[in-house]
This record gives sequence, structure tokens and C-alpha cells, in this order.
Amino acid sequence: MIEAWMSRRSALVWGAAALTGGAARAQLKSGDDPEASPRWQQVRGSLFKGRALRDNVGDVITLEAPARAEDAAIVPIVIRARFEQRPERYIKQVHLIIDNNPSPISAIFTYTLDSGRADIETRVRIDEYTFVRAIAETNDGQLHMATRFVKAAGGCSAPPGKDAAAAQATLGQMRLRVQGDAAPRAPVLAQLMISHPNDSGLVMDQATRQYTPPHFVRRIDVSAGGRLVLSADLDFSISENPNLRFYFVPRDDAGTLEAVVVDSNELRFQQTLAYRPSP
Amino acid sequence: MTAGGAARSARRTRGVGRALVAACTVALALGCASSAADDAAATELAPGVFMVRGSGGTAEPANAGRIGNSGFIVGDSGVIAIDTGTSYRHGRALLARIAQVTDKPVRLALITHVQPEFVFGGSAFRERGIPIRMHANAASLMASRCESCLKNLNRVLGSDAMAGTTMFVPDQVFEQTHTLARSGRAVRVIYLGHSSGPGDVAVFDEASGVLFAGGLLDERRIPDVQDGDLAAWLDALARLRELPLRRIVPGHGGATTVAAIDAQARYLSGLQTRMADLLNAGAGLSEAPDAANLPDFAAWDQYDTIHRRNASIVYIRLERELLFK
Repeated sequence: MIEAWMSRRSALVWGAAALTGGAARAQLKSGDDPEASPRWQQVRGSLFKGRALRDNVGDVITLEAPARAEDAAIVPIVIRARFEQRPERYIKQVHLIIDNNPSPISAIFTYTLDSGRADIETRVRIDEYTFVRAIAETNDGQLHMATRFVKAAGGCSAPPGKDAAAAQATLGQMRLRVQGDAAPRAPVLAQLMISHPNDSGLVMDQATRQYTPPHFVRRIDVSAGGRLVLSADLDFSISENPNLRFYFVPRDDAGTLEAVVVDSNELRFQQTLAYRPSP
Repeated sequence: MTAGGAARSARRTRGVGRALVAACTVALALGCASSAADDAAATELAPGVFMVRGSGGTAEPANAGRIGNSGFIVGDSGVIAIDTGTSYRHGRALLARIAQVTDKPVRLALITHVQPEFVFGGSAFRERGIPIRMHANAASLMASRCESCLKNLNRVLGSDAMAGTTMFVPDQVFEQTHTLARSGRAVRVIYLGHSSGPGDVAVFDEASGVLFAGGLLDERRIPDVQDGDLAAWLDALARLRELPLRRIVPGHGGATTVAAIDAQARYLSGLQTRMADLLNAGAGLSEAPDAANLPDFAAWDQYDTIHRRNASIVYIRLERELLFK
């Protein structure tokens, strides 16, 4: 599945690059017509060809993104489900698309009933003014989209030259947090922080004129008490030090939350956190 | 530009001095937008110590990006320029201000810190053969990112305002606090470690007690914490306060006194405390800018922009500290 997705992603990168600047840029300044985005039409054709898509109805998911980003390298994105995960109705998967990024398909989040809520908060890089989209697929196979236009662009906000040695020393260090008391059978908010440069391979060091090779987190699996609660296929649009806030349902008296992270160099990192639901 | 346009422009940049507004009113018929920036006057704060005030606000065509302060100190044998402005044209305007006051030669241009509005006028000083001096760490920071800053400025201000402006490397770098005597006047360059930014320095004129605070201090403007280390910055402000200060030229805003140091220290600690509280309460990064309101500073320049970014930056730093606890 991962391989299939990766090759599709590569195809998209090249497809997007082949689009001429004129068409792609003509609609950049305006957030008026999300359907006119040529990158989106291309992504849609690739991922959801021929399928109906409920657009911005707001009864399945909502998307929060700043209209103007404080920092283009770390733009917070929040996708919220409008209902809890129940056998009769739940969200199976959510695609996060950033139309005008070099690789538009930024993340694919897969949820289970043990997720409790199919919410996610993460942080992304945004290269140009762009539409951001979250597309949820519910268990009945319907697609539901929420769209936001974000004004963000790289500029003078680049931090002082990153210390590559320091980043290497902490590579793969992780922390899991559970917010508040975990009550059994009710969704609990958790957070996963990963120390990782998430290099895109597209950034030139101005001082050395060298490109830093791509090295980014590509897959995260989180389980609670051995049950999968979240899988994420990720791309280099995710900001450095990837950070996910998500829900899970503690089902046992006590259990272990476990995160397994694999990056594009096939390095594997693991972190666990014991939790004990309050009675 | 119409009179209404001039007034709106003045309100937009909040900190514009009354003198500049008056100059605009007089200069309306001549086209204020192009002449206002060139006409920023040199104010003598103490004998031989001059400030040229920037407009405040953010870089935009109406202010030609000349938002930061600069100044110069006239000694017996020459002049030391402090910060060089935003562009080649701005640098030339600053040199013209110096020439109106004295015919002594400009010996040196000292750049206090690496923000575009203090750096890129260096092209004009370079053209005159005036050596450009900055801290070694500031020079590294400039090399690592200022090419992007310059592209950004060209995009925002236009190629006319930025004509002749180029990247450069300084002629002289230094690492420690030292006294410059080349103007025939003792001018102390003070480096207090990585505070508001790597290689940020303040400049103290011993004879008059005037301090050019550079990136370390803004007056009634939200300081940008992007390059700063908050704890070290607060220490540095406390150490500047120990100097026999009479007047202070901040990086942005009007000439001021130690009260501005205290106000900025309150802002920096208030920001740190607020973001730590939010993080501990479980707020996400998405909530940080809205939840970070600090009403005591809401009237400061750039509260709606830099403060919101500061909130996110400090939140992320504190969160990262959690990761390694």
C-alpha cells in the first residue's frame, strides 16, 4: 500500500512540475474558485477519478487553517470530524492536499473505530498562496471535502542556518502525551512529537549552495492496547519535527500507547506511553 | 497621493513622527510617497550624535521599506555610521544626511543586526569605499538567508526602490565588545552574546551617554523574537540598563529612555509566561496566536502581526523543550 502510494506520489510531483507556471500561478492570488485550481483537478483525477465529492457541506469534517500564516514553514492545520467514530457511521480516511506545494498530497490519515474521533492537528510547510483541502471518506464510501485558502510564502522568515549535527544527534527522539485523564470508552486527546528535520530535498543552503538531501518521516502507526488508532502516510510538506494531535479510545483498565515511525531512509523509531484511565 | 491618503498612510504606520507628517503635508504637491522617505531628518540627540528615524510599520511601497532607525556619531576626525538602511537608495540618503551636518569623512559603517532594514543600504557605503563592519555571527546569518530577504524586498518594494541594492559580505568582522576610536571619539560596541539575535550588538557613545540599541530594543513596537534567545535577551537588557544611559535610539520607534527597556522586558517575560501557560493547559499551536493576547501591549506597532508570530515561535520552542525533558 505504501509503495503504491509512494509511486503515485512521485507521478504527481512530476505531473505538477510539468504544469506551466502561467496556468498554475494565474489563480494563486485569489481564493475565489477552488475548482479552478489546475493542480487540484490533476490530484482529483488521480485519487478520486469519477467519484462524487460533497464539497464544503460541513456535516462530516471541518478544516481550520490560518488565512494568513504566521510562519510559512510551520502552518498549523486542524481537521475536525463532526461526529464520533461509531460502527454505523465513521470516517475511514482523510487526505490532506496542498494544491500548490511541490508535492500536493501531503498526508493520508487512516482511522479506526478505536480512534474515537477522526480529528487531527498537524503542521505543514506552504510554499505559495494555495488552497488546502481535507477530503474524508466515510464508511459508506462517500467523499466529503473541506477547503481553505492560505496566504503563506517563504521569504525572510528562514531561521538561522540549521545545525545539522544537532538535528542528527536528536533524530528520532519522540514524546507521547495524553491530555488530561483518560476515561475508558471516551475519546482522549493525545499528541506525538518527533524530532526529525523532515528535509524536503528542495531547499538550498544559501551559504554552501548545496541542497540538503530529502529525509522525511513517511509513515506513522499509533496503537492503543494493541489496537490501531491512527496510521499516517506523510510527505515532506509536513514541517520539521513532525507533530500530530489525535484521539484514541482507551478500552482497557490500563494500556500502552505505542507509536512506530518510519522515515524515507527506512529508519524506524518507536515510542510507548503507559496510560491508566481514571475510574 | 491625496491628503486623505497621506493621513491614512500615517495612521497605518502608527509610529510616524509628527515632523514627518508635517513634511508630507507640505510636500503633498511634490508627491509625498517618493520624497517622504528621502526627507527623514537627522535629529541631534547630543552634541555630534544623530538619529535618523524610520517610519515603523512593515516594509511597503509607501515607506520604501525605510522602517528602521539609523544614526551616526561625529568625532574629531571622522564619522561612524550606525546601520545602513534598507536599500542602496536609502543608504545614499543617509550619507546625504551626514554630509548636511559635517564634511568630515565617514570612517566606518557598523551594522548592529541582520534585519533587512538595517543591512541593505550597505551597498551605498560600499560604493563610497566606506568599510562595513559587523559581528562574525551576524555575517554568517546574513550569508545564510539574506539572499531570500533581498528577493522578498524586491518583490514587495519594487525594483525601482531597490535599484542598485546587492548582497555583500562585510569588510570587517569582530567577536567581542570593543571600543572604536577611528572617529576620534570613544564609541563602545557591546556584544552580550546571542540575545535578540546571533551577533546583535549595541553601540554606546561614552561622551554623551547615547545608546544605539539595534535589535536589542524597540520602542512601543513588538520586538521580533524569531532570532532571539529570550532568557539571554532579558539578561542583556538588564546589563544595558547598568550603563550610564541618557538617551536610547531603539531599532524601531522614537528616541527613548530606560523606561523602554523595562517595558520590553515586561513584554518578553509576559510572552514567555503566557505561552508556557497555554502549552501546559493543552492548547494546540493552532490556538496559540489568538490565545496569546497581551492587552498591555495591544497598542504597540505590529501587535497584530509580529506578536502573533512570536506567540507561535515561543510555543514551538517551549514544546520542543518538553520533548527533551
